[in-house]
This record gives sequence, C-alpha cells and structure tokens, in this order.
Amino acid sequence: MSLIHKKTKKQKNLAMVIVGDRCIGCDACYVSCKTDWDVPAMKEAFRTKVFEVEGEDVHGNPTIGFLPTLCNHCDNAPCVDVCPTGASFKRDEDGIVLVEPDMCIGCKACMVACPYDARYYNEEEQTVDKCTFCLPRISNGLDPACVTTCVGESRNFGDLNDTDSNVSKMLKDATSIYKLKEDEGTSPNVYYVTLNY
Amino acid sequence: MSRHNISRRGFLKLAGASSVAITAGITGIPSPLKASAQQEASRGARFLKYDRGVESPNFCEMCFWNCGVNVYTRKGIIHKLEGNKLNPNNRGHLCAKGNAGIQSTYDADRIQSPLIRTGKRGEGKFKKVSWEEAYKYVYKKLNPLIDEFGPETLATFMHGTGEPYPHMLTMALGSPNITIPAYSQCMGSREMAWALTFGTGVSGHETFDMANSKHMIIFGRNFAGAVQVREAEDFAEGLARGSRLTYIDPRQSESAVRATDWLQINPGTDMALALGFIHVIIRDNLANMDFVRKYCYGYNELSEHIKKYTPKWASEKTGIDAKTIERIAWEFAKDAPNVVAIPPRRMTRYGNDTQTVRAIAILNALMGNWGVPGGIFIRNKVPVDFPKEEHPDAPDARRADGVGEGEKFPLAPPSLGRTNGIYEATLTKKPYPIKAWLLYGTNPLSHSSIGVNSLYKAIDNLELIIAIDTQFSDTVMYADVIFPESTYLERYDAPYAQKDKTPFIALRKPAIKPIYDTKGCFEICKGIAKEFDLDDWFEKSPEEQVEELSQILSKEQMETLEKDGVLLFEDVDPYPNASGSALNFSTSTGKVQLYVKDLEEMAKKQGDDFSPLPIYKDPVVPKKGEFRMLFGRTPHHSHARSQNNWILLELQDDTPVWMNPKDAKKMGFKDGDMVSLVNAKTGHKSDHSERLKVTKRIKEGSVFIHHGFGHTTKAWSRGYEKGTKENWFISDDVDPLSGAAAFHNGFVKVVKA
Amino acid sequence: MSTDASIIQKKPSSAWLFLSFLIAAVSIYGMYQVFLNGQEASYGISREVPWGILIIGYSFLVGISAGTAIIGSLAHVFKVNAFHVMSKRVALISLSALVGAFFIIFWELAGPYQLQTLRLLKYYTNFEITSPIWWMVTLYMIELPLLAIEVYFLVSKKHESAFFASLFGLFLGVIAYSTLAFVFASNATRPLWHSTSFSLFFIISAVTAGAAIVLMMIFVSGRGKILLENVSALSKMLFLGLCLMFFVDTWNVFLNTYGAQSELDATMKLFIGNGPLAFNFYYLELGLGIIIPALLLAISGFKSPSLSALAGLFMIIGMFFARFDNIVGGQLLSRADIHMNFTLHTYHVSNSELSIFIGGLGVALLIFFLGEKFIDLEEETH
Repeated sequence: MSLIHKKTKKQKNLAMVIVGDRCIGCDACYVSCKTDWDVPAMKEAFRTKVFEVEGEDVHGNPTIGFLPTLCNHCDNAPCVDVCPTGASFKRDEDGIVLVEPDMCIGCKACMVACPYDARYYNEEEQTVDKCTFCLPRISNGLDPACVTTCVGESRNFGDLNDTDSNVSKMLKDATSIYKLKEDEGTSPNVYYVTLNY
Repeated sequence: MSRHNISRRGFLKLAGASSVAITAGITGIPSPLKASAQQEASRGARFLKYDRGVESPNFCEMCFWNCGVNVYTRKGIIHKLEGNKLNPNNRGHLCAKGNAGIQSTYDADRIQSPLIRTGKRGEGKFKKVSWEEAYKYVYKKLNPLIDEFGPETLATFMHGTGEPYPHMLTMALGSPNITIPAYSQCMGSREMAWALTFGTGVSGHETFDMANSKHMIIFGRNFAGAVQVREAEDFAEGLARGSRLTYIDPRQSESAVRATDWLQINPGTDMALALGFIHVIIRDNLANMDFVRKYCYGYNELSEHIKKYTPKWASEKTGIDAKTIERIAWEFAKDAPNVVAIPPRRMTRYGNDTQTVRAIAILNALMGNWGVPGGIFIRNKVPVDFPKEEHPDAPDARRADGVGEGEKFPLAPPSLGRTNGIYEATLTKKPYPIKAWLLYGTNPLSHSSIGVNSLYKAIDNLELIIAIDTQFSDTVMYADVIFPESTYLERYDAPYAQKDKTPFIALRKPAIKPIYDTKGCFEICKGIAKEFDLDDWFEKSPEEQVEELSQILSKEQMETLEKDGVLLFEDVDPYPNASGSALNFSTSTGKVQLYVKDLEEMAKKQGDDFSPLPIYKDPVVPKKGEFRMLFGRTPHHSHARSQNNWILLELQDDTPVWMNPKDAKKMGFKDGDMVSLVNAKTGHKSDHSERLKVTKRIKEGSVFIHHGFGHTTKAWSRGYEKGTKENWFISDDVDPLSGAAAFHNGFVKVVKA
Repeated sequence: MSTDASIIQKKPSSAWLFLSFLIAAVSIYGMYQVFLNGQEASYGISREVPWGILIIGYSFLVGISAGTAIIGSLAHVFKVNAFHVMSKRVALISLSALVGAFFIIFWELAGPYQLQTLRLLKYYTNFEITSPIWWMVTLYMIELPLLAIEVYFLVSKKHESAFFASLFGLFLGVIAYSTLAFVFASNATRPLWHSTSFSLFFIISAVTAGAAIVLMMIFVSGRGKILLENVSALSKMLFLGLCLMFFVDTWNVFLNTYGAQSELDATMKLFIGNGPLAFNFYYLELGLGIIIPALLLAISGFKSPSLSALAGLFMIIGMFFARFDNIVGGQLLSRADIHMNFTLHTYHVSNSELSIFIGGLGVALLIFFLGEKFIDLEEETH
C-alpha cells in the first residue's frame, strides 16, 4: 500500500545486521527471546528462530546454512496495512512494528499477510504477538535479548541513521548485503551480510 | 494447554506457588472493555517499560562448562538468565541450554522431596519421607553391607559442582571406588595421551587458541554443535578472521560445514591420517626444528618410526586422497606455529583412542605451537591461597575398576576412576562384590553401553542405590532412596576457581529459595555422614566458604567479586613461548615426549597398544548388512539431562537416523521412512521407531543419531520416550591404555519399523 | 407469473426446526473444547496455516448469502421475472446464511468467551482504511440489518420499500462479497490469491450458488412442475455460471504454469499430480462441483426440477471445496524458505473446528426454519 502511506522520515532507523557465516545454529536466540518475553510453551510460538537449510554445492557435496529469522520491521509492512483495528502499527520514531495486545481481535490477517512468517497467535494474551526489536529492553539501555546472547556474535543491532553505529559500519564494510524477499516491496530492516576481515 | 506444554506461568499456576507468584504470573486476563480510551491514546506505551529485577551472580550448571550467569529475579520469580560479560568462559553469551536453565528449575517433574522406593526397582513407586527417615534408611541399609563386604562395596559416581561432598563422604566411609564419568566415558583417552606427551592434560576447559589460529585441523571435535560457549565463540571468531579449517569427521557436523576442507574419513582411522600428516612433515622437513631441538624428546625415533606411514598408505586406510593429505600437511606447516591440531573431546570411540591422540599431540609438538597465539595456550592457576581442607586418608582397599599400580590400567588416575570398570565389577562381582551405588548427578543408563555389558543385570546385583539429583532420570528411577538436590539457581556452591588462560573466581548465590523440599549436596552428604558419625569432615558449608573469601581476598578484590560476580587475574602470560620465556613440561623427561619412554616396559609386556610411538591398528568393521553406530551431541541439549526441558524439546525432540543415500538405496529405504535399530550383537531392537534422514552428511557404512534421548522414566512427562537411546547399540570396548570406553565399535542393523 | 396461491402449502413441521437445532447443537462440542483447552489446542490451524475451515466456512456461507441476495435482487430490481420466485424465502436464506457465517467467524476470532470481537467495534473509529477486513466489517454492518429489513418489507408487503432495500442489497451483496474476496486477493505474499481472477471467481461462484439454492428450494417445496419456467431459467443461469467457473479455473491453471515465478509454480504443484490438494481439485472442485452438474443440466435440457436441484446440490458442495482449496492452498507453502526448496505445511481439520462449522450450518438452517414457522412466507400472485 505504498500509494497511500506517506513515508515519514524516522528519527532512528533501527536495524538488525546478521553476519551470516558467524551463526552456528545454536538457537540461543530462540530460547533467550522466549524466556524474556514469556512466549508460550508451544513449538509454533516464537519471535525468532534459526532455520537450518540443507543443500548441495555444484559438486554435489552437502552443505548446510543457518538462517536466523525474525520480524523485518518492514518500512512498507503488509501486516500493518491489513489490521482492521490498528492494533498492528509502525512507530514513526524508529520504525518498530508492534502489536498492541488490547486492540487485537485475533483475525490473524497479519499472520497471513507477513511474507516472513514472523507472527504467531498468543492465546494466553489473546493477541497476535511478534518481535518488538526488544523495545522494552532497548528503551532501557539494553541490547535485544537475542543480540545479547548470540554465541557467534552473528546478530548486531543499532541505528542506521547514526553513521558511527556498529551496524552502519558493518554495512559499509560488508562484501555482500542481502535482505529477504526484497522483491515483495516490503523494505525490510534486517540485513544479512558477509564481512571480510 | 496440555500438561506436556507447560510454560513457566502455567507451571506456577499448577504448582500453587505463593499468591505473589500468581499475581505476578497472570498479568490480568485481557478484556475488550477494560482498556480505557487513555490506553488507546498511548498505543504501545507498555513496550517502553522493562523491569530487569534483582541481579544475583551464578555460574551455569546446564552443562559442566560453567559459564558466568547473571540471574534476574522479579518478585521472587526468576525471569531471565543472562551471560556475565566479564566471565571468560562465555563473555556475556549463553547457549540455548544456558538460557533454558530457568525451565529446569520451574519444572513440576522435579524431585520434590526425599523419597524411598516402595514398588519394584525401576517401577517408579516411591513414598515421600522426611530427611531424617531418608538418612536413617541409608544407614540401616548401608551399614550391614559395609560390615559384611567392607566399605569398598560402595561405589560412587558423581558429576557436577557438588562433587567434593559425595567424594568426601565416600572417602570417609572408607571406599576407594570414586568415579567421575568425565574420564572413562568422555575425555580419559585424550587426557592421558596429552599428559604422556606434554605432561598435562588438555583439561575440561580446553587450551586451543582458536580465535588467533591460522589453521585448525580438527579431528571431530564439534565446537559449533556440542556448544561450550567460549569455544564456540573462538571457533567462529577464528574462522571469521580467516583461519583455515580442516575438519575430519565421517559426519558433516555443524562445525564441518564451516571447513575449508571437510575430510569424510573412514571411521576409526583418524590415527592413520595424523600419522600421514606427520610423515609428510618429517619427510619434507616442515617441522619447527627450533622447538623440536629445544623441547622435544625422541625426534629420531619418531622419524624412523613414521617412515612406513606414507600418504599413500594413509590414503588407503582413511579413504582420503593422498594429494590432499600432502597439501594439508604443507598448508598446516606453512602457518606454524600459529596452528593447532585438535583432538576430540569425548574420545571414547574405537579403542585406539589414546594412541590416536598421541599422534595428534605429536602433530602439534612438531609445529612448536605450545604457548603460542593460535596454538595451545598455557593455563595459569588462580593466584590465591585457599585454605587447605582436611581429607580422610586414602582408603587402603584395592579399587574395583582396575585402576592403580599393579592393576590392569596402571596409568589411569585413581582420582577419576573408571565408571565402566565399576559396572563390570558390579556385574561380575570381581574382584569383589559391589553392593551399593551412590549416584550424584549421574545416569549410567543414559550415558554408557547398556545393551552389551548388561547394565540392567549389574543393577540387579546391588543391594542399595542412593541417588542425589535435581531431577529423575532412568537410573534415579532404580534408586532405593532419593535425595532431591536444589538446582544451581536455588543454592550456594563453594567459590569457583578456574585455572585458565585468564584464571578467575566466580560466585554462585541462590537467586530464589528452593521451590520444593530440596537441599544442597553439602547438606545432603553431611546428613548421611552424620548417621555414620562422620559429619566432622563436613566443616564449612558452601555459604560459609563464600563468606570466608573476604578473609582470603583483598578488600578491592572482594568488592570487584561482589559487584561483578567474577574476579579475573589478568596479570598472567598464556603465551610464554611467544614471549620468549622458557617452557617446562612435567613429563618424566622434562620434555615434550614424541617418544614416551615410560611406556617401553609396558609395550614389551602388553604389546603394540602400549607402544611409545603410536602404531596403527585397523579398527574393527561392521559385517555386511550392518552399520557402525555413531552418535554425537546436538546443540540443543546437554548430555542426557535436558530432554525434559520444554523449551529445549521445542528445538529438538527426536533423533532421526542418518544414513548415506548409497546405503539407503541398497537397503531400499527412502528419506522419511520409519526405521528401528537392532543391536547386531545382542539383538536388542529399539522400542521407538525413528525417521530415516537420508543424507550425504554421513559416511557410507555408518548411521548416526544424536545423544541423550530415549528416556524411559515416566516421571518425565515431556521427555518420556522421545527419540532413541543410543546406549542400547554402542559397544563396551575399552581402550587398553587409558581404560576408557570405546563406544563406536557398536554395530546395528536397520530395519523398517 | 406462474406462482399459484391455490397450492396449499403446509407449514414445515417442527421436526425440521428440531433437526436444525440438533445440527446447530453439534457446535457445543467445539465450544466446550475451546472453553476447556483453548482455541489453539482445539483447532487444527497453526502459525503457518492460520486460516482454516472456520474462515472457509465463513466465506462459504457469506457466498451463499451474497448469491441468494443477488438472485433475489435481480428479480426485483431488473424485473427478471423468471427469477422472481419464492422471493421471501430467498431473502430469508440470505439473512440466515449471513447469521450462520457470523456465528462461525465468532469462534474463529480471539477470546470468544471474553467477547474480544467487540474490540472490532471499539476501535472501528480508527478508520483503518488500508485494511480490507475493516471495509468488510463496514459493509456487513450495513448488509446484515438491510437483509433483515428486506425480509420485513417483503413479509409486510411493502413492495416499494422492498424494491429499494433489494436494490441496495444487490449493490452491497456484490461489493461486500468481493471485499471479502479482496481480503485474500490483496495478499501479495500468497501468489495463489494475489490476482483479480480470485475476486471474479468468488462472485461468479456466489451468483451460481444463489441459483443453485433457489433450484433446490423449488424442488424441496414440491412445486417444480408448476414453476417449470423458473426452473428452466435458473438452470440456464446455473449452467452459465458453471461454464464461467470452468473457464476461469482452466485459464488460471494454464496461466500459472507459464512464467518463472517459482513460488507460484510450487503452489500449483499442490493441485496437480500427487499434490495434497489434487484430489480435492480434480474430483470435488472440478468433477463434482462443475463438470457433473453441467452434464446433469445438459442431459435434463434444463427442464427437470429434480436433476437441476441435484446439480445445484453438487455445485454447492463443489463450491465448498473450491473455497477450501483456494484458502488452504494459499497458505501451505513455507514462507521462511528463501532457498526455494519449498517445504509444505499441512492443515488437518480438527473435530472442534468441524463441529463449529457444522454448527454454523445448523444455525443458518435454524434461523431459516424459525422464519418458516413464525413468518408468513407464502408468495402471493403478482
């Protein structure tokens, strides 16, 4: 719905920069996140997850890649567009996409609309729930729970509007930058990079 | 929500915790009419608040790496565990298991009070008893056994931070049979080979300087899969900085995928490969001769010995191209001394394990990487004089596990013992009957071969099984009396001092009061000792030991420790060789022993297995139609301890059987078929069928499953019968030198379920 | 006009009322399960497939409602006299089906026992105009009372008012139902849904279903022979609808097999060969739902009330499976997989979901038979 939405300049452009080959697939992020946010005890309930992608290289040798996924906090978020009550919304100041639990009717339109499978229905709270970029933590001077615990230091978080931030520097130094499903026009804010030291 | 899917909140409701807990747990059931217009105006306001809670220092006990943990508690309920940024074991990070520690504490399946068995062994029927009754029960049962068979009839298995107390209790009672499974079921062969070569073991906190390495040759040590945080960090960091990685494993593990060269070796032939590397290095004059001349003993014997182990020969044995072997040897030597060859951690594999690690140790020695960045760093002791504790005199009785001078395994350390030796002695009643076991945090039925060595039959020979544990396990279910231990989040432990690159002291203080009627291991062992009038040995409680620190440390140090939860001693040099200091090796020659003179006599008597230089012997191989049973760790679980932790079960709750596509084709299987494993020797068939995972990631002729699953204890409402227990299918072979187990010589048939 | 007041029709017995009550009561099982274990434990829907048979049942019943409303309105507004038959009952069916649909969706939405659905009204004034569901809510908030009013006008013989209500109803029926279709079609991440033909297919099948329902009603009323002219016209309408559906379906299949959109390609694999929805698609959606009824109609020469009614029944069943295939099919493809090794999710209808769906049908029937019992629905001669 980019025709209708006016693009506001965000004061902060919060982003996650994931160094792909530093992820070892340990899933510490999954557990840290679930614990901090009381995500219900269900396999389907998670705000972030690491996918193990098995494949083969051109020689037919087996390969595995680890793909950490979370909400991309899209600048053009399909989930926000489809919400009938305004429970799903994007913060003007930093671009974080949130769900206000008191306003959600559980129609799950946002879950269906999300290209990244980033949302789940939290029945305990009777609301759709998702990654908040750990807004409660970052508003209190802490890093997101997944970043704090990341064993391979694959996950990095910061403000891209600040050219001195670690994430800005990483994007500048990156030898390749990849975003998921950019062709869908979502303008995601999670970057997958490779770095050369 | 079903009982099998219990969140912490659900748990608190169920467990009937205090009213504070309940109000904190249910933050108001949402109602459409409750939210006011005001709330609507501040849409998202709730996301700006974060109550971190009260912080308390701890170190992790989910595995035995002991990462530094800060525990955050809100209104008496542990909310979050986070890594302690200053602790060198993890630098602020925690793995999935460490993060899931809370769930293990708030688990309604835990042992909630002392128990005495009422039903048949293993049936799982217990009655709640008071602590006094439980202590008295031990006395009543154990004392007659000691009278009849001597105190050595008690064997103790222990693993965990509370180890000193069962150790003390067993010694005070007069039994020498104290065992720690970390030796014979895990690192024993590696430690012995390292000690024979360098005069010191690798130690549990391994000394490989991966972060600074230029080339790592890793023999199946899965740093990214069997996660121990600092090592996983260093591994990722080293690779990110451009280190080459040669990874040797019949299975493509989580670490192998990062390799520059992944060599899918024939199982059991790692020694041939290491010897091949050594051959090339010596043949082509690639060794670090400065180091060799200065610090090594037996280079000439080695160069003579290694001649026959050509790359071509190694290629035949290992299935790896001879050119590749030569190339990697050259590349490795080129980057010396900032390179490291890393032996496996759980080196209980093919029965040639000690000599295999000897070859790997020699490979390191030839690079001169001892005390060099990117090689092997030196561990330094915590420079603090802790008060010496008084110990009972070592018991006179002969050990039952074949450890000690004049016994079958004279080199094995009596301080660690051989669990497999104790199992055998219990079964055969030789050299004398073992009638009682004391299990502290150990679970033989999930950690050792049970099919071949008839562990269940061995248990039948026992008159008394005492268990101290935080949770039930397959073996605890067989106990006659169970003492529930408080978890690491509920108890004090003695100050934790770690000898390391940067030595440090860490603290553990309880974040909450015990949820159930549980005690620390100290109190439990003291309680038992009191029945025997031996409680004088238990002088200072862990809490008192922590308090006592203020008399040992300086005021500033104490303040730092209280503030940070950890106290570092950074004024040490882990790289003495690089900084030009002389090196000392506490071997009998005072040098790095390429050739181990100490073994000469034994080799004469007992043959090639004891050779002062590693002599290659072919591994036993499966018959046609059989597969070698390989197993290993998953990043999502700790040993066989965490498979009832709901959050970790979400990450993994099964053990697919890995099989090579060629084997699958031969067998007529396809990916996703349900199969069962049958032990080729005993005929035991797994009761649990598993999904077949057809993948090139496993070598032909072998199957692989993850370790730690297939629990048969019904006390585990979530982990019960999830996955297959590999212990039914592994061998009970023994490495003749170290006496440690050799699990990977077990063979299975795979049948359609 | 062939409606004959002289035919004396008996009021349906209370047995029908009781039966529909029993069918509605099936939903008690699902409600009880939800009360006891919650929706998540009771329903087959998941994180990956959040829209299951309740959403399908909702869109199905709303389709029936829209179709009957359109058929009824065509008669009134455009004076298509051939369709002008049993118009009170047709209007009542439209109303009943809509109530049934709302019953089903109520159990799908968050916290039914806490009436969380009311948040929809509470936050209605946020005017989330980018949300198709918001528009759908708006339109159905008008449609439901309008249908009730139309029934009232028809029964109280206020023909002029009924005409205007009907006119408005036609307009709303088309708009509201295509807005419901747009709830799916607007979803850019589901290639199966994201096309105009999706909305088109919804509307065509709804109108066709409207004709099918009226044909079935004529047969059940036993007045087929008398209303043969109407039967013939409606049968032709049904036939035309089936042909259009076949047309859209076929071209869709061809269209989607061309081009290199790997996601769409993977989606289409669901429907062909051994795909999980292939049986539904070939045998139920195409075979039972389109080809067999079209053949039946052709054989009958549009003159057999019984065969036309049977064709109508098959078409309705086929339409249900068409909705099922479309809505579930759009969700089965894994979204997290960027490496294009598309893994498939599964969706199995749970007993609780099924009971609420059946109960929803029962509620619709119950409303209808209550109307039959307490309102005079007999048509007068024009």
